[in-house]
Amino acid sequence: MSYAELQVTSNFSFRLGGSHPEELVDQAADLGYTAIALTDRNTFAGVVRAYVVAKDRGIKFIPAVRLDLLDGPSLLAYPTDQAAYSRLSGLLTLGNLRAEKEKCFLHKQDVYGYAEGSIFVIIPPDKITADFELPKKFKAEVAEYRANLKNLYIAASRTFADGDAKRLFLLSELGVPMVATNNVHYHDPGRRELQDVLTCVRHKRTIFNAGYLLHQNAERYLKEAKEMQRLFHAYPDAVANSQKVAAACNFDLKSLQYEYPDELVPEGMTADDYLTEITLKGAHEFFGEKLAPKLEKQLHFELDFVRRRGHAKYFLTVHDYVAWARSQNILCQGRGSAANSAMCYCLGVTPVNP
Amino acid sequence: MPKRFVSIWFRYLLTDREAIRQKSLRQLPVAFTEPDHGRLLVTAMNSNAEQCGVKPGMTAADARVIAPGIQLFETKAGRNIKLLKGLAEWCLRYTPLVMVDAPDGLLLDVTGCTHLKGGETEFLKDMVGRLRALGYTIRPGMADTIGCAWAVARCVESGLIVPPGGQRNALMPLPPACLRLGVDLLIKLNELGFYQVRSFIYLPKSDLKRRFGASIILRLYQALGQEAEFLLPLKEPVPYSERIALLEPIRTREVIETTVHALIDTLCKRLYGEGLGLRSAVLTYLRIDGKSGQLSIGTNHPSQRTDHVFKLFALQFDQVAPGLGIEIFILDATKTEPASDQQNVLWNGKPAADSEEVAELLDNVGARVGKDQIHRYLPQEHHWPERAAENTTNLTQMPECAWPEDHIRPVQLLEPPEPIEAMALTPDYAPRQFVYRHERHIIVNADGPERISHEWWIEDGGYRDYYVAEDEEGMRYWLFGTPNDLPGQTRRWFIHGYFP
Repeated sequence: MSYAELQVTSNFSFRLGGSHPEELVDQAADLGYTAIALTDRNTFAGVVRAYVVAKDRGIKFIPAVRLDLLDGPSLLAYPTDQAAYSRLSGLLTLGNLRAEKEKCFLHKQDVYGYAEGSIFVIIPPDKITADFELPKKFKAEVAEYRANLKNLYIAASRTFADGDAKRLFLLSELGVPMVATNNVHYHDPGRRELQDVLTCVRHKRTIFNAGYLLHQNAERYLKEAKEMQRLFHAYPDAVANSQKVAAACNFDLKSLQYEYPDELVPEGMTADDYLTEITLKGAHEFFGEKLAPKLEKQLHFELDFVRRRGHAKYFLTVHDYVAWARSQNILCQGRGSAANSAMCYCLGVTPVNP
Repeated sequence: MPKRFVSIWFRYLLTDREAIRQKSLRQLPVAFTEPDHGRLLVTAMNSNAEQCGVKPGMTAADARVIAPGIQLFETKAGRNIKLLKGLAEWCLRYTPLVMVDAPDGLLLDVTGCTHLKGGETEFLKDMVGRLRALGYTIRPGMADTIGCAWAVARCVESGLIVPPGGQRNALMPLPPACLRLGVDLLIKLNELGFYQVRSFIYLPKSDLKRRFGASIILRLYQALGQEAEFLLPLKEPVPYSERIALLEPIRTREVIETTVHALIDTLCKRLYGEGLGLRSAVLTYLRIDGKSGQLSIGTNHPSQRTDHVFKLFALQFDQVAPGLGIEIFILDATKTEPASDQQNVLWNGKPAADSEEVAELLDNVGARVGKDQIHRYLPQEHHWPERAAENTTNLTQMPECAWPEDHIRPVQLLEPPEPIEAMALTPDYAPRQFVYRHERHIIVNADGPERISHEWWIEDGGYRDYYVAEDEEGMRYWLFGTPNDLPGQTRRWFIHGYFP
């Protein structure tokens, strides 16, 4: 029995989710899920918190996002690698820059441009029409997504609404593979009350007149893997597919490191080489052509340390500031705590000779 | 216009009533007794007993000695009030403002009513004649004030009509007892030699008050008309009321119909003139034998149409028992509502959902099957089925929200849901069969579950799993099961509605 939950809304979707990412991941680990994704509305904001707990509990965590589009059904996007992740981040930045705070304006066309390397899952409408059909518009949009997105699935949820069975059947006929999700809004059914209140706040209603804006039951929680398998026993592929999607997402947040801009380094040189070069150049300026062995040893020790730590670019940046300030006759103090360093003295970052 | 009041004193109320029942008692001394400390004390008696010397407060044994052959009856508490109420209703034929004046009288506000009988004397004569004919010994009094009418009825030998403004003269020769004072005060006045009202009526107010308390002042001035006193009518008079008094009592259905139609017509014209419509009305008929009956109707829509209202009453004419004949019909509009001009337009041609035609149809159906059998439901935004619709009787009320089209719900819910015997073999599946009202239904198709949780802000509780189930005969039911996912819970099943 294994299951991975791919549609999870945490409280980082403002006024939508009823639980913290930490609680969700924790609960998923308790239930023995193979993986859990976090799909907040147009944001990756919650992934770090979830990642920390996931690492702690040893459960696979998939940073993902739900893209609410202005002109089409929402999509869940799962980056499979770091490049895909950065593309999705770029997509969100694009959307955020278009809109005022808290909003994100994205169109279908935008997604197609940033789609490479990500798996997408279409969110179908909650209800079927009075004729027991999926809306025609939705069908057309699914066809469009199929033409434009490579790795495409459709989300199948059983939230105990009426017509659930018929709805799942119609989705299975669309020709897009289904993934089983429970459209999780809270880790525990006891959070339904909080989620209802959030819904009221979102819509500026009171609990007494919120009416059909609220969910009719408390089923959107993390259920046991066994229960999920039972609910989808008619569509075993759906559960298998969610495992497949989870397995395909191999992007780990750990692989993300800060990418320092390297515009200061001349073509064809590494930052370390360049730092060594200008340090030695400075040393010769201060101490003459011949360097004392003690000084040389100290410089090499420091440069080696910087190389091991990967901070060369940072020192180059500071050096650049100081050099520019000097050239403009601006009094500047390059660096405080790094003063006790021969290298910094040579670079001119600190005027104190150690 | 000065007020005119009539006070009627039923001197032998209880015994008269008994004598009306058993004619033989008229010739005999009769008394009512009540137990007191193991003895029986006389509380009321008729004139025969009184002539023999029987007095209230006397023991039954003494009364038997003084008045041989006395018939004793047990006093029932509240009996006099009940009788007076009945008589008060009877008196409604003279004036709408009648009040029970416990323990043994009635008060009528007859302002502006007397000319109907041809003047005050004739009015009183007619009333007294009829009440006496019924078998009651009464004494009436008529005056400008309640107090004076009371005094005249009680203390003047044959009753009297005090001319307007003549209270002072009328009260002068009467004993202080005519002022409705307490027994203690009367004894005190008697001991001091105040045998007539004239002996103290001119004393300074402050002296009187000091010696005898405030009540004597109040009662005196009420009787004189210098202090206000009000009458609490038995029935709140309705502003829209019409009556027809018939010269000859009527009995046949045709005549009754013609009379009632004319009565309704008068009322409807009056309502129309004031832009009002009838929502409910009561038709009261008074028979010559003192009995009465009522018919009541209600409408869905304020109505001013004589034919419509008449039709509603006509459906109930079978219940009218004219007996020896009906002499008065009273039609009260107990509830009226503004009838807008728009409705006038509507019934001239354009039918609409809340049009007159629909309302009249509903009224007709309602008059046959009972008005409470007709419901109008308005949608309410609630997931919980019992709260998803509101029951209203108002045809014009607009729904606050649209009916949800994506929920499959029966047209009418069973109220409350009825338990059924059912067993589902697999969780989340509808039962295979169920027993409802001793009938077994095999389920061939079912859809569900639709899980609806209790609305926690209104009440606590679990959820219900609803199924639409179809049995072998093609009948479709809305069933639900209670939660069973906690240990120790067993699922109970209910039926909540039918689908067409």
